[in-house]
Amino acid sequence: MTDEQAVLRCQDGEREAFRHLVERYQDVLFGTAVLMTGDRAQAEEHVQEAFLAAWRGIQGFHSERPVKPWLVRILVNTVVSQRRRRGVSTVSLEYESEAEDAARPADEIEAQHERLAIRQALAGLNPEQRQVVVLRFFAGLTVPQLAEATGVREGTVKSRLHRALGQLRDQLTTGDAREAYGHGQ
Amino acid sequence: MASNFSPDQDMEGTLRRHFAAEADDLRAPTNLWESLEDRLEPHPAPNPVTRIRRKILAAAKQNWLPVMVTGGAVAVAASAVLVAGNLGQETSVAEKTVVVTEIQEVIKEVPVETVVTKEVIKEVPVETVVTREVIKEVPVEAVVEKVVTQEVIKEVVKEVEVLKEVPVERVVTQEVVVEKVVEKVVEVEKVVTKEVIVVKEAYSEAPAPAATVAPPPAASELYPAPTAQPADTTFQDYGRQPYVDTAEDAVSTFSLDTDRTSYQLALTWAQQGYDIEPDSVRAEEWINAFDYGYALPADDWGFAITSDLVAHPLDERKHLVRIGFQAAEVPDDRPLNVTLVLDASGSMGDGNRVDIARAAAEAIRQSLRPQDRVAVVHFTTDVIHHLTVDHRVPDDYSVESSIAQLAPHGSTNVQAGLNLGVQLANRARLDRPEAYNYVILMSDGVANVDATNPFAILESAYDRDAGNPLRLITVGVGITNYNDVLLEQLAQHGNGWYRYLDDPGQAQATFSRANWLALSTPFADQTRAQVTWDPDVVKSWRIIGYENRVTSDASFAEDRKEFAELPSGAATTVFYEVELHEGVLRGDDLTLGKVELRWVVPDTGQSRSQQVEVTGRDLGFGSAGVDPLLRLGGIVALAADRYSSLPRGADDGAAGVSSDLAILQEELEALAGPLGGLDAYQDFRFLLERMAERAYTEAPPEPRSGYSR
Repeated sequence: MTDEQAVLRCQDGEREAFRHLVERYQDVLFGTAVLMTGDRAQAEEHVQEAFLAAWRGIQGFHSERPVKPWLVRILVNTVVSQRRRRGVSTVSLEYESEAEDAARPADEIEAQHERLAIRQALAGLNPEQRQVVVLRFFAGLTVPQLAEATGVREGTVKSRLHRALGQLRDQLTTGDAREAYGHGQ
Repeated sequence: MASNFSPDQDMEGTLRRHFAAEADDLRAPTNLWESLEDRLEPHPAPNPVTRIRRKILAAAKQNWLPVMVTGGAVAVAASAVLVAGNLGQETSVAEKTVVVTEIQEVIKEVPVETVVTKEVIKEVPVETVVTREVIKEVPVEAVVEKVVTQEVIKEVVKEVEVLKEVPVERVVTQEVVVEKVVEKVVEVEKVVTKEVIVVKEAYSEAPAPAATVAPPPAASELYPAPTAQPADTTFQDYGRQPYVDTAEDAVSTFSLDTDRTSYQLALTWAQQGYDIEPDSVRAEEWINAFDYGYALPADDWGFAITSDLVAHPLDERKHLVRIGFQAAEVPDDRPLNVTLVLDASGSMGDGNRVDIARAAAEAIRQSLRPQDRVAVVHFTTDVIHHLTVDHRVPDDYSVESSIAQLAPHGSTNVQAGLNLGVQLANRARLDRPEAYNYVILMSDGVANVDATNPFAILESAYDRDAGNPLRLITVGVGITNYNDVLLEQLAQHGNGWYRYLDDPGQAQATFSRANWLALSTPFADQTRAQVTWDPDVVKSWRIIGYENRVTSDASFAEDRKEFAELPSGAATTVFYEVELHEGVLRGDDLTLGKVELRWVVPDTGQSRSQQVEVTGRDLGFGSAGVDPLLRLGGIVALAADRYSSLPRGADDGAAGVSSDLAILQEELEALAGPLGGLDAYQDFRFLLERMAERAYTEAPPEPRSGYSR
């Protein structure tokens, strides 16, 4: 079943077709939510809310359009509106990794270190910057899709991305974002 | 720098790798669907338009456009019609029309880059489904003669060698498809006829007819934003009569009209806070809504015909001519056969429609005399047989009880109701040849089953006895979801007249015994007038209103059903705008031409004619010698005429209408002294105010700059 067929069937009220869409996109939504919030439990709640909203709104969705950016946009809205409602929650930097305790060879341990460093650098970004980075490189949205999902102009997306990438780079090389940011070179 | 990439690109690569490595840790819990499923609410059924849109788009996407072999266009058209047809009987005409329009829109979205050969287009059954791939490969000549189904094609593909090239004779463009759909839809559904039925777009309040099977989705689900206007009303813009140069054509022929429904509708709408639909304005019915106090003729033989000339309040180069026709009042004690055909469809449940219809029917019953007979028919999807009462004396309990049981359910089949009504009336006519025969239809006109066009309905109820015709009176009720065209045309072509009622009290008054006796005594049938202007006096002329009553000069000699039936004591008025030749005005009585009236005497079937000169003395519109009622009539005529040209406007566009109405308002104020005490004056004053407001929002009058152009 293609996405489009699935959407058409959902519009006729078929739950099985929706299950199909859920299973196809739950990982990308969940991952995005975790990366945005840093909290697995919250992320799951957001993803559920987003899918419920998608089901409610699917009648108005044009089946020929790509599904993923649409779902991601709904998710972003869910997360952002939650954030507004609850106030800016502190994002926990260390979302627990389920594979953490497995025994690893040395090169993997190094890789693990790098991953932790990048996580830390990501956590150092402000929410908007983190959001564009996650949507672009984790969820795989294009810049125009990202602009639509976040409700800002493409130019703004590009400049946010550029600054976010610069800050990440600085932080990863100097290990101190606060120092690097604004004093870079 | 080691890399050929920008620093950003390096970082992007790092991030992509990072996220790929993290992906395993970021998987959603496996039971997400299970916990989600329980929380999904059931979907409301999608509306038919959305459903059709989806189906066609899906078909297009899946490469089996229901197109191709049939010449694409026709097949799409046919499927569109099929879908529209399948919407079922409970869907109203208006809704179907919307659906069809939607389909046309949808089809514009469908990629129809199909290539079709000439042979194919010629003649192929419609229920064809062929894939694009197949068509490219199949020698089309081989399959045209058969009913082409997917299976057949597959068979053919197996058997026949693949052709390299299909001869390309014609490319079916989207325009062709859309055009075909329109043709097909009109032809098959008979939803939209050329002459009648223009369905307006507002569907906000269209009540869902109480369907017997599955109710259609409520209109509010179907269509967006409720508008501030009554929904789903049908009016027709009959255009405007032009100025005619007398040197080229000095003769004006028209059927008389005693209807005043257009005015009553407008007043009701305005009183309920709605904008008056310009298309609903028929100036002649506005003019005829007022009593000009014409004197009765000296004898019973014919009419008192009067004429007046007065300066034009809006244009100093022009004049207004009023011609009034006052029928004699004749006592007539011939008995009546009355057949009440009552609309019991779901739409009648809206507001107090049923109450009005019941009150009107009951008032008529009480106004009937012992020598009269009355029958009752209720109709919805079909006739309600257990409530049908054949002709009986008016105070028979079964008649009273049947009327009292009028209640809304089902959809509307005016044709079925009229058919039975006509059958009963015909039988009564044969039983009692000495009686006049009335079939009285009470409805909101929202026919949605079988024929929905007045001519088709009339055809089935066609009455061939010219000597003692059935007279079809239509009584309209309701504001939203109201079909003015159907009821007006039914009466015009059914030897009758048309009234609109907006409350039970008005129903009782209209059909009070005194009114009913006059209304039910026919005085003149097939009444038409012909004005011949003197080309030496009148340079050009224009009739106000009567757009759908104007007829060819040649037809004046013929007795025709569609000409007007006038009851005893009826008055009809016509206004002309005329331009006089310079120098003809000398303050004396002026002869402008002549007017001839022809009609058929109902009793005897004898044709009669009466002719007088059209005369008048030129007086300023506001001058003291002018009858205030003539001035009022002139204002009503011009206001209705100008307003009905909105939103385009007449000669000077909408801004011209706006300034004309403002001037007419001032002229009307000047009549407050002599006429202010009349209800009719106050009602019209209010109406004109609303009209002026509406015209102003359309386009305010252009301010005078004071500079030359």
